[in-house]
Amino acid sequence: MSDERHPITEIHAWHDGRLPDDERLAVSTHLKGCAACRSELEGLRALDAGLQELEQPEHSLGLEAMLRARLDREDARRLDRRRLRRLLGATALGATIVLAALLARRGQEPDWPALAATAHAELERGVPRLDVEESAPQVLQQRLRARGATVRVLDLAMMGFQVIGGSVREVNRHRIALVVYRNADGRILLCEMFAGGDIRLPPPLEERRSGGIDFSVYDRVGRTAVFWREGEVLCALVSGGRREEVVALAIAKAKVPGSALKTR
Amino acid sequence: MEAREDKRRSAFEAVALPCAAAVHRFSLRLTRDPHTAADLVQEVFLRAYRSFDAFRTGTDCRAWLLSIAYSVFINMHRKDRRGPPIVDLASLESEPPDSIEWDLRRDVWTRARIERALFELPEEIRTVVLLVLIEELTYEEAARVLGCPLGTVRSRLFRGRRALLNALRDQVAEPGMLALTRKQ
Repeated sequence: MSDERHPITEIHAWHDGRLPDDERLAVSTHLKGCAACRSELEGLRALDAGLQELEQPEHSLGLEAMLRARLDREDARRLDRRRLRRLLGATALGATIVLAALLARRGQEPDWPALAATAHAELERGVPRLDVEESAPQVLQQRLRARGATVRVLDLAMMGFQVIGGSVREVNRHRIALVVYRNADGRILLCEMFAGGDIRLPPPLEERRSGGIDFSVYDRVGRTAVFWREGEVLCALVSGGRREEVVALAIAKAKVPGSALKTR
Repeated sequence: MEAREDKRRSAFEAVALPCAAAVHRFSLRLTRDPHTAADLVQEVFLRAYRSFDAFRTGTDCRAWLLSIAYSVFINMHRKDRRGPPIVDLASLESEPPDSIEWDLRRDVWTRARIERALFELPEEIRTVVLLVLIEELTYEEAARVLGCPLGTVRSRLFRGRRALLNALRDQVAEPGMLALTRKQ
């Protein structure tokens, strides 16, 4: 766009404060001696000022009132959907617990990875409500332990997951602590800790070993569940993300120094 | 859960609603139609509300909303084949530097004439002009809103300004034009 006589592109950049220091002096010097380029610069200034002075368009209905009304409708819709999900979720959770109890009575071990994956699916749907909603890992840990859970709540913020809360459940005489995380994309990561060393797991899809810990990897209801033991506590990490990512998170979580848990 | 939703709604209103005028201004000048602009603004705020959890507190909410507005606008065009005609950007090339002596009779650059010149710009150029010169986004912010390289913003802004100056100069040259003052 520029030529030797009129450095128009550079004058635009100069006007926007975007010209490198070493070129500013040359353009300033040129402007002093070139009426055409001074005219260009004056035109730019006038144009920018004119655009800034354009009137704010009026909205006849009242813009903010219209938007608030739209948000009200959205809130009502979300509330209806959430109630429906809770109802369906409570039904599904109840059925899962009844099935687990029936299996226990028949001396059969529940499919713990399937239960964990089901719990994750329910959390993604927004049900059931968490016992404790807390974003500070240490505080959540104290509050879940106060409810009788054997739990260690890790801060996974460095991995992009913020803790949002947790719950304590009793299934087949095993107390299970659930710690729920969410990342910026809204993806849920569920960490479960089962008290008691007598839990038997089904054969895994694959097994990994890292840092002296054995990891059992399962694929259930479209989710990856990774199980490992820390002393008498069985830990699980469940997510709908890529399998390798979930396994890597589990390995990173299990490797944290001082991670061995003691049953309360 | 309801308390959390109330908190979320309050946070959204506090952060996003003050930007409503800017989004409306941008939408109106982008669509050139008040009804379409109103629909666009509602859609933008609905989408923003639904994905508000993804918004990073402390970042520029206005730029975030404008990027949603541009995205919705582009999708509207894809669905509606009656969208604005594609203008050959090469046709906006400025005149040779020999003839850059602008007629700076700014007293006749009325707001209406500037609006008219702005509306006649092709969409790709007009969008950059709106973002940088009216909404005062930086080149970098505009590039993020549009999802294009920084150099594209720079070149479109250059072309836009030259086209606006040309158009305003042509308007000044129109016969019989009233010499209105710019600030009335």
